Amino acid sequence: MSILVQHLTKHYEYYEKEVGLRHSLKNLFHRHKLIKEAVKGISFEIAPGEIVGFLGPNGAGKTTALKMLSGILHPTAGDASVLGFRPWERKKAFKRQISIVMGQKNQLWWDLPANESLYLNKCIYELDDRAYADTLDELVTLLDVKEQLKVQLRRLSLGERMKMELVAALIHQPKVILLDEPTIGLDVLSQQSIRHFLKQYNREKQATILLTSHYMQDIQALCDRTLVINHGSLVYDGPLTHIRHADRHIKRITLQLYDAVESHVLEQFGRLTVHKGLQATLEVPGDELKRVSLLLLEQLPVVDFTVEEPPIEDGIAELFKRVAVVR
Amino acid sequence: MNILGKYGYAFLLGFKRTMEYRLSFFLSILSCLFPMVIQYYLWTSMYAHSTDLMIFGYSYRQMILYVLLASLLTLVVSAGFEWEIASDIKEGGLNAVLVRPLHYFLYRISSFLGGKLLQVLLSLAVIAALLMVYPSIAGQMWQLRDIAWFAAALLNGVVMNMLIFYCLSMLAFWISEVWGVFAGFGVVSSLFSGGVFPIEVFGVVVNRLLDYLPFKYIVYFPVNVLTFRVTGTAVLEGIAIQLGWMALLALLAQVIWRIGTKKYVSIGG
Amino acid sequence: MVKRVARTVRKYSKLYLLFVKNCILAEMEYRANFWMGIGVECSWLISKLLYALVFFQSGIDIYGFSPDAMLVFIGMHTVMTGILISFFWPNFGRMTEYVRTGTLDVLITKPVSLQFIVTLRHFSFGTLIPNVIGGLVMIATGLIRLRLDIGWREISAFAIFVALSTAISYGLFLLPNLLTFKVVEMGPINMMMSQMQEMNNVPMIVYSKWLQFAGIYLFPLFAISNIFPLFVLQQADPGMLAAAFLSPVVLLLAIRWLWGRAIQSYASASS
Repeated sequence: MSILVQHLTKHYEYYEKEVGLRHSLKNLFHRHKLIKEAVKGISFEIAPGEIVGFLGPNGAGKTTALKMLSGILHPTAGDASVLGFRPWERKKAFKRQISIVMGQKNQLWWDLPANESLYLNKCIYELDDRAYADTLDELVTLLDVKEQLKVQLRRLSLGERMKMELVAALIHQPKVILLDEPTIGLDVLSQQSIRHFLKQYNREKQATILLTSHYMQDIQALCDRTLVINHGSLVYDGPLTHIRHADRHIKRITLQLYDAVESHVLEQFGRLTVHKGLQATLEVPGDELKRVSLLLLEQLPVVDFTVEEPPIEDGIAELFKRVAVVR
Repeated sequence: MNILGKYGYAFLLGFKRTMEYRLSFFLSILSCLFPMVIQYYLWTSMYAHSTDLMIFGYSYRQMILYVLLASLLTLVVSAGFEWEIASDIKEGGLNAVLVRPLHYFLYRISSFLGGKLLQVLLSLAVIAALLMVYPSIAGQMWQLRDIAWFAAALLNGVVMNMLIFYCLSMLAFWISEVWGVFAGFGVVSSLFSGGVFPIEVFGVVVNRLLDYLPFKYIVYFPVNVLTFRVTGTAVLEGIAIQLGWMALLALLAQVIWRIGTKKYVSIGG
Repeated sequence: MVKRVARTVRKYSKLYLLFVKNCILAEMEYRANFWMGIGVECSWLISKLLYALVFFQSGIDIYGFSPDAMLVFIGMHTVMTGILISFFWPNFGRMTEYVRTGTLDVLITKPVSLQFIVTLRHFSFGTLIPNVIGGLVMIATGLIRLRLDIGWREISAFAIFVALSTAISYGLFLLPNLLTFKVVEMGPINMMMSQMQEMNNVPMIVYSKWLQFAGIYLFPLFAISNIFPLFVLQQADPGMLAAAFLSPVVLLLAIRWLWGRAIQSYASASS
């Protein structure tokens, strides 16, 4: 087993902040402490070479779990073993074999060109010259950022920067790679090339990859297996295709009308979830989308019309209801 | 908005912010202590080893009173909003304010003063306490009229310092490394305004120079009004000079603002 | 065992030299900023010289120390301030930012001492030069005017005391910054620390006996700027010299332990 997690739990304390001058004055002398349960006893195993996705809405506990697996945080309860080490003991041998990439946070130093940052990493990980040069060449070629090595980090585009971060993260050939929202904020092209790269890297090096995302496409493209986490608990562990069934390809149509239309009329086209004044939102099954859209535009006074996938929270909310059915 | 009006509200927000950062507040009060301690020991040992009873024209008790009062008044007149104004200018936050029906300086100052209120009240309370301990130094007791003159001199000093730093902050229109100007200027200005030593210590030449600059009227003059080293018509003269400087600086600020915003808008903010 | 220590020393020395090199390069990129920094340091130098001016204008000898002797104290303080703000402050000041932006998390996962990389990564070249030069000039001027020798004995003593004082500065000023992991608003704490450092603007002999004692043996702030001048003016007693050698050791050990505790609490308390 590459990663073994048993009843991992994390609670932390925070202070209540209330609005108003009176409370601000009170706060000068005494503050009210509260406890947040970020992760509630999750358990799972990951075999070497697997790519596993960690899916869940914001605040679900994905990042917290990842931080515990990389040794950044100490769990409140439970245990975990990554490559045979307990992550939060932070042994040097452990650190040399893992890597964590967190979406918006930088590995690389802002005021340096990428190659200087990478050279620092070489010294930190004590890589020998040959191995370093070879790995570097391989990675920048695969990610197509060879030209950008000498450029100052702040001058690179977000996509290029993210690719450099990946180079920095993989320069020491880690056996376990933890990625937290790796494609967040990137343009579509960059997202695609990073997904492609990760797939290839995993195939060639058999590195275990655990990645969190709230983009379905990331998980779809890369992961054979998904762990769905919600409110700190693991609600699903299995292949992605089964979740898609639960999702049933629902599409959401938001309409802006220029004349009022009655609710019962709208309900003929699909499931009416929102109807306020001249705005309405309908949910229709994906395969019905084209037919219903044409009808809507023909028959209703539509000014504006947007189609989107319902956010992952809906799918997961669905999942909650359907957990019993799937099992 | 209510009776406070928009500037009153900015003032209140500034005050509330002080409440939030409580550690910050307590420590800023505490950090006034160190300069006082340093000065106290410095002059105590100087006078202990001096053959003269007077150094630079001050007796021991006069000197101690001066440095303590100067330390507190430096806190009262201190600015700090220059950093926010500079960052507004450099990072385009000014755009948001220019389009609103708000006078920029008044807005910034209201917010700033709100944050300072507690600090100023505490400083004045300490000054009052100090004076009760040292009543005999001045050789006379304080009448209401004396307090009034001091208040006027102090208020003028505050406004002068604020205007100077306001002008400085607008250098951000032209200099990107304006932080250096604030830091460097602050160091020298606090010395020349008499905030650390009475300016007599700098010798004749420097004093002659300082007569033509506004600095000594920010801390040195108000302190000496309070300790009766400046009396009678000299007080009126000093206050008149302060008013003169205030007018000049206000005019300078207007001019710089006009030129600066013109440049700012022409660049596109 | 010895081999491992040697390898570790080599690794960290190499890393530190890389840090310095990278920082100087980055600093040179921002020419205007660099010169502005030098300008600001010069204005601080001027303010320190004004303190010296006060002593000279008064013409008073304090406990037998003439204004020329005072110059040696102020000069040492200037050199040590230069070292403090160039090697350590750029790092201590960033600690809050590391916590806030999550950079600290990334650094925790690296196989390198967290304390090393957090407290030593940045170096400011521009602030070092004016202070070291100005300070050395003041010390030399003072010693020359006092008709004292400046030979190998004095120079090596200077080097040793600078090294010891550097270690004390590191430990002493890092101490309150360890609160970063718990407290968000570090600005006022650092302001207080810099105010404390101002106490060394004047030679410690002006302070009362018990304050001097506290400042050497309990909270070795005065040890930083005062022991070398006292030594070279032949006024240092053995107790002080012992403190000069012992406090760095005690401080660094204390820092090591407290750092571990601070990180532990960070890892347990946050999310």
